[in-house]
Amino acid sequence: MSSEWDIDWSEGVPMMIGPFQVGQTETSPETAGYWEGVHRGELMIKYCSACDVHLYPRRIFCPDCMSEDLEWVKATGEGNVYSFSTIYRAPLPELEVPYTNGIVKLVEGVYMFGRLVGKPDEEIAVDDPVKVRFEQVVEGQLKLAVYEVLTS
Amino acid sequence: MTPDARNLSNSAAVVASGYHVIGPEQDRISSLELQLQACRNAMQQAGIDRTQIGAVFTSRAPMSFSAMEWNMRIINELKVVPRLSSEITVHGAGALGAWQYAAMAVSNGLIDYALCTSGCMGRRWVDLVKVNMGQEADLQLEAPYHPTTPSLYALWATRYKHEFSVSAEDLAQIAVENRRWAVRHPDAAMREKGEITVEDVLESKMIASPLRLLDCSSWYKGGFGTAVIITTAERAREYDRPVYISGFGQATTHEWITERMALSGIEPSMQPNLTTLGAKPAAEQALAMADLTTDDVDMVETSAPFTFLNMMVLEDLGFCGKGEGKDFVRDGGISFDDGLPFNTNGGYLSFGQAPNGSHMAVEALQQIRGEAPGKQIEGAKRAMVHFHGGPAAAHSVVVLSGEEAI
Repeated sequence: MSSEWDIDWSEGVPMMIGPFQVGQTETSPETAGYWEGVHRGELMIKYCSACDVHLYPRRIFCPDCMSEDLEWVKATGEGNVYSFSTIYRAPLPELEVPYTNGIVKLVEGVYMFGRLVGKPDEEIAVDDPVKVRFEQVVEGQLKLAVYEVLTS
Repeated sequence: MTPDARNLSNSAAVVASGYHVIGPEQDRISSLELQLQACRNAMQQAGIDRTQIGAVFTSRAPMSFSAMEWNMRIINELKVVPRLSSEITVHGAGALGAWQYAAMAVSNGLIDYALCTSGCMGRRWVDLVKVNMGQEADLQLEAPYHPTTPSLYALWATRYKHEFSVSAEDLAQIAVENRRWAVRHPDAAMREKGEITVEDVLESKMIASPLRLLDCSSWYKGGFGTAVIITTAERAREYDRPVYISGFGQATTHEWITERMALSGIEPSMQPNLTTLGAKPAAEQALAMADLTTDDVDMVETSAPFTFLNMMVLEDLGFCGKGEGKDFVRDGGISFDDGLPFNTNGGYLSFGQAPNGSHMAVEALQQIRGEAPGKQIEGAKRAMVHFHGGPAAAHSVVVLSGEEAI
């Protein structure tokens, strides 16, 4: 399957209407550390040492103390299912259903969105423990962080 | 809220409400024409010409006619020179948010008349499922997992059902009641489908658990454009049956749903949660401005596109406590026969989702003026209208009153 995500974003991507360029979709250096982590097989989140709080990967400064002195840190990748939904009608006809996406609460306190795998979809429940791993959710496409749902 | 803000109550009114409907069998027109026809209709009703329009506020660009700076496209055609103008881009909440900017602009004397317009030809031109996907998910941290729009809202539903033990049957009842209003409205998308039962909802196919087909809104199959003229209360008294803006509020909590879970230390998210909407602070402000309680409200119109979200909205607007929505609905709280009139044209579930939702506000205006195309609520003089957009991200609430009610 050809990858619609396989775009070189390093210089941004022109936004076109017919032959006319009407703007530029910018690249986002602030999330580069997250994607580099995915490539290595590490879940990277941000950390504010002044507040001793972990933050969502995209944060540019700490919303509480306003410090921009944030560090990339490796998360344990462990947490619990906060909520989930199993998709029976996919957005693209080539995707196989069902599959389940959810929001997990990492032990660091950061909530992440991702694919829930490793347990039959109909048995997944709120509060189930999870552990991150990295794989293509669609063959040939970008490797992503996914969350294996463990037996509680 | 300061006493000055309370002075905004009933300081502005809607004096004309234009709309333009294209049915599924009619020839396609552009969303630009759809809105312009509604504007023309509203300006003619109000008896004003283009030189009198002091402000133009639009909702975001139609999904079927994407253009940057949509308000400029409208101004371009109307040949007006507004002193204030913007596209109000808080997703579907912007269409009603526009009325709030208009009320502020006229009530402080900056301008005399404001025009607010919204509308979309929707699925007559585009695959709205695909378009909506690009707008509802974080392109880096959510979209690569192929969520659908219902599946993003479903994350709220799963959590809400988990925390408050809400059953699928409780939620299904909302779809049943909405449909009863829709079958009586000439323009409702589901009018011809007839009434439904709780069993019909529970047996409809699963779209994104726990949401089944009949838990979800239906796209409006044609096009629906609206425009209103808002002016000062003083000037409104020269018009037939003006509808006063008694109170309003907005609250916007996030863009992507996972970011809502990164929000804390501020209402309605002192602790991260997926159970209380921005509708709550918006409604509190609107009722405080109006100096009213929910007991004073005769009907509620919301743009909530799923059964569970309708239940959460009833709670967050203040008609019952958090987690009590299931009891409110079970006890006939929104019964078509004798409950609170709720989504009186059928709502998003059964009238259909005409993007940006202004048909819900038009319904409230028509009910208050005693000219509802569907079932008229006898003696209804006050409405609470709630628009929302994004994955339960942006919320606008307006309390509307007929002259007798203020």
